Amino acid sequence: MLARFDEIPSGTRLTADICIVGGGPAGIAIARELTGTGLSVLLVESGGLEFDKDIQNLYRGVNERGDFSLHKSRFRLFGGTSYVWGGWCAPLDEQDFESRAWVPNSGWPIRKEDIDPFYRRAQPLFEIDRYRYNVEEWDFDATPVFSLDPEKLAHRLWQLSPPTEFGPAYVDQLRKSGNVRVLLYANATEISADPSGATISGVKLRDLNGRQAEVSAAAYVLACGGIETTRLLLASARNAPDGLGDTRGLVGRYFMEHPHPDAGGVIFTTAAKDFRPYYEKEFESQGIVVGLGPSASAQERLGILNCSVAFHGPIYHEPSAGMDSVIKLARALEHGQWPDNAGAHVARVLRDLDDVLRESYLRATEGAIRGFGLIARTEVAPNPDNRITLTSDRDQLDMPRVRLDWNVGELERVTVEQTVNLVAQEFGRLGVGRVRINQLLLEDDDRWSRNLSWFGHHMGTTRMSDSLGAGVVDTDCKVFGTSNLYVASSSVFPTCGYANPTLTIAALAIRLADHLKMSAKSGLLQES
Amino acid sequence: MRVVDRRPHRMARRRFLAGLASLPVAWVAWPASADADVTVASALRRLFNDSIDHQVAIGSLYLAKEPAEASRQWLAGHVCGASWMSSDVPVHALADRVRALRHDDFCRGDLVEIDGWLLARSEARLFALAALVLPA
Repeated sequence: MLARFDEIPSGTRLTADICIVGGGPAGIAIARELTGTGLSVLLVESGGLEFDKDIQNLYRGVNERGDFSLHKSRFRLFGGTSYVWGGWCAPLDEQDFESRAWVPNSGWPIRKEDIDPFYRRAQPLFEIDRYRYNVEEWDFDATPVFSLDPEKLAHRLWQLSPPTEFGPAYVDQLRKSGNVRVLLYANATEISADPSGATISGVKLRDLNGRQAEVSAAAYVLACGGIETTRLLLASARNAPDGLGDTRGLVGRYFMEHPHPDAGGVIFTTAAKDFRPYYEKEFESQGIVVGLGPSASAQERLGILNCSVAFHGPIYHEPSAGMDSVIKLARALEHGQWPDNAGAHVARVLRDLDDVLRESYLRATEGAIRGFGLIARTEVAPNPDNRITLTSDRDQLDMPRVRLDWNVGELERVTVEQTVNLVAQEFGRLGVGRVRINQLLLEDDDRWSRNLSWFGHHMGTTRMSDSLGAGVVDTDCKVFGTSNLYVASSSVFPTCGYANPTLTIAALAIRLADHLKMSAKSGLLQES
Repeated sequence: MRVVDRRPHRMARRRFLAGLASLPVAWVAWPASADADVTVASALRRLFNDSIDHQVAIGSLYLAKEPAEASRQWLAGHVCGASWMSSDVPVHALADRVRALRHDDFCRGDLVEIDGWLLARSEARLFALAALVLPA
């Protein structure tokens, strides 16, 4: 069933066995798993089926680094941030789950093998065929991948979702569900708890027109993403400044996001076709990307984080000052303008005429690919000082807005530098290419971190732990100190690896759905 | 003695690639002589197939980074081995030696950064030797 918030009378008290707050990939994955179970499920979503600017503005906040906007790096509508994503799927690596002495605060309380079955169950959600994330499982049209030194490098492989937009893809299934109700335009503004904070009694809902309602359920799942889940927990702490439950002030700490630095480039010293598995994006009718990263043993030996580099931006020829001016002049003329500094551009073209002629020829004839740029995606170390807090500024729903105060450190820079170095070593040893590193990565200051790309991978602010005082949720993703409040989000990741988080988010969501089903079967939900 | 221009400058991919062009195989007499520079120079010129500008440019950048290695004798001994002063050293043997050294460097991770390019130390030293002994 699908309804809009303005279709129910203001002041209504809704009831359900399970209330899911947030209709992104995590919330939708859980709702799908609970379809047909006999449990009454209510999924409340802030947005509608279409993008709405006023609702999106509720996401505005302050990012102290200033390099991405909080309201542009996530989306507030049914389907969540899958509304705009690249579709890159990959599981975390085994070592990502381990406690590593050289990575402070690392280690999950569960192992990769605990989540492996759920990765496989999550895979179809992304409209991807078989679950296979090892290069050995692929046929690259008879082009072998490089035989890498396992003490240095390992392959990375992403399977590409179309990319699936969870809203359009699954709305009909949930609309037809007999036990799942989806309520659109319903903004959760506060989680109510009993005086001890141990039992959640309800979720308050509002819309932008002042209408209100409340949900009462046996169990509540916060599935609002890596920032909003934390915001809701912090904003709900009427009597507990550090957040609901017994979270010891950890809510909002350990924020992580994957930095994507320009790592440099590679020039082939062998035929470009030898690199096909690394730059072609489709094999066996499936979109994939093959990359490289430090092996587990290299990470340990070098004391670095997990990381990946992948090819992007083919290099056909050498850019030149003259050709740059030709392009600028051509673009200006296309728009019917005459550039102010046209004379200087013409002079540059004349000074660099041989390069201009050569490049013009290569562009016209589409010369052979000679290399590629390298883009890195690195793990960041979990740091308690990287933190989300609430500001005194409030949004239209009277909810405090968030401030994100964080930074990327030296370990991340060294990780990318060392990864590129390992690629250079292996490409040199194999005699296939030479690598050029982005020289900012060689400077021991923070200049490298001022020109990074970000892709909205917000993680870590309600981290999972097996002990009170070390995390916000337990291994079942239940908030410590509460009996019936759960989190389904990348916010539970204690570490983030290099892998894009969405597949892991969905896997953990399905795992949580199983837990809720089992709890219901054993009567634990009713007792909450 | 030739003055090497060691001013750092950015090196285009094209020049860099030319510098790394595969080492040709040729046979050349490498006579022992008091004028060792001439023999090393002629060997390198044959090794690089008479196209030396790019190698010299890379070598100059290496020497700017590692000024303590700016010794023809030391570099020749390191790159060419103990036999470099003896007569009749085949250039293909030198090419094989440099390839082996380069391979070992990559395996050991002994790389040097030149204008962002990550090179095997031995190939950078070969180019540095070229910068010292080959005329502009």
